[in-house]
Amino acid sequence: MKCSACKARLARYREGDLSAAAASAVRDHLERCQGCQAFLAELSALEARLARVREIEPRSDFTQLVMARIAALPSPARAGQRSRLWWLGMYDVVAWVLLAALAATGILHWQAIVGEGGLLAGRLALAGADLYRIAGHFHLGVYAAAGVLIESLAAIAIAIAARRTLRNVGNNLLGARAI
Amino acid sequence: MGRFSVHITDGGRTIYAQATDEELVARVLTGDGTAFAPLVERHKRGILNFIHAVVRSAEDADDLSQETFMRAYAHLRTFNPKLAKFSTWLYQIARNTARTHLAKERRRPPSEDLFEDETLEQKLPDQHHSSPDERVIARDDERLLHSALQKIPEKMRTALVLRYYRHLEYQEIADTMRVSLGNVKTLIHRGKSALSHALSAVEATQLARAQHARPEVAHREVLCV
Repeated sequence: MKCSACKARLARYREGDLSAAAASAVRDHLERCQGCQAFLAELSALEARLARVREIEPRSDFTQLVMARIAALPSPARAGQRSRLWWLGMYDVVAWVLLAALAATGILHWQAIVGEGGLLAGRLALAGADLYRIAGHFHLGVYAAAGVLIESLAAIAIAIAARRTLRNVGNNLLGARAI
Repeated sequence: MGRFSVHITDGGRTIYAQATDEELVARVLTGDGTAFAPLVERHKRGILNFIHAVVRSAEDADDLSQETFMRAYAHLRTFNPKLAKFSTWLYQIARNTARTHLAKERRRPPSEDLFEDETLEQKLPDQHHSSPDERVIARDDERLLHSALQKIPEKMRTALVLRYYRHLEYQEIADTMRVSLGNVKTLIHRGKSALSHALSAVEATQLARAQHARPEVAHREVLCV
């Protein structure tokens, strides 16, 4: 074993973190090499020196100071309650702002959108009337309402799950770095 | 989580003597802000000493420790007990707070005064060294070590401090620093070598200064080398 390899393994050797074979190789090298013995002694002395460092004491009023300062902050509990619904509103606001910006820059023609919307609404009304007639004929109203309800609940559940997943991914990626 | 082990009422004040950190966090999140006080009480010493070893001055360490707890409180809702222990999360915030401070410090001219935290250090009890001479040598030794720590890269310094000052396990250090276990071992190993070299350099500088200083000061500083 070369000295560089031995020195690279010495810290793990001291921690007992090497395999039996690797530890044996380091031990054999140490028995023969005075330079690595000296390096090991230096490491041991440094660790002993680090271990001797005294801890400093926090000031006696540390906790009171912190508690007084956080009293001025909004409660994380209240902030959490507020945050449950604000994101739905935010998405809505962002969508409208985006739409307005696209219309203002001429990328979207709002008259065309309104016209298309009106046409679509008319078609939906006709289709709805047809569906109503069919549903009434086959008594499907209750089933259709149940279907719509289930689909809505599923959409909400997916939105909540996606939000939680994204938040966890964000926590994993960024963690406290953002704090 | 969810069950609070002990609620003792002492003169109208609730003491969460045996509640875990995570239980206390849950308590704060339900609106009981006073449950944050035992969290500060439990971790203030560890956080202060960690930050003190990473930054230059004791005064800054005190401010940054307070800031750490304030940030933790403000962002408590983002703490996820499934991902990490509260103490690990707190050390992550402390490290980020210290790094932000160090980034600001880098823009300022470096201080030449190795003994800038004299005032706070003198307040501390020293139970390990009985004689005044031993205490002086030990204090100088710590200052040299602290100066040398400031000269090695922040990642190595943090890993060494968490390991040898805070006595964290390798896995906890890896979680706190968001690096792999192998990376922690490498950082600690290289950190020791770097610290050893930095110590030699700092001690040589001190010796040179002592030779130019007054005889009685020189005697004191030679003792520690």
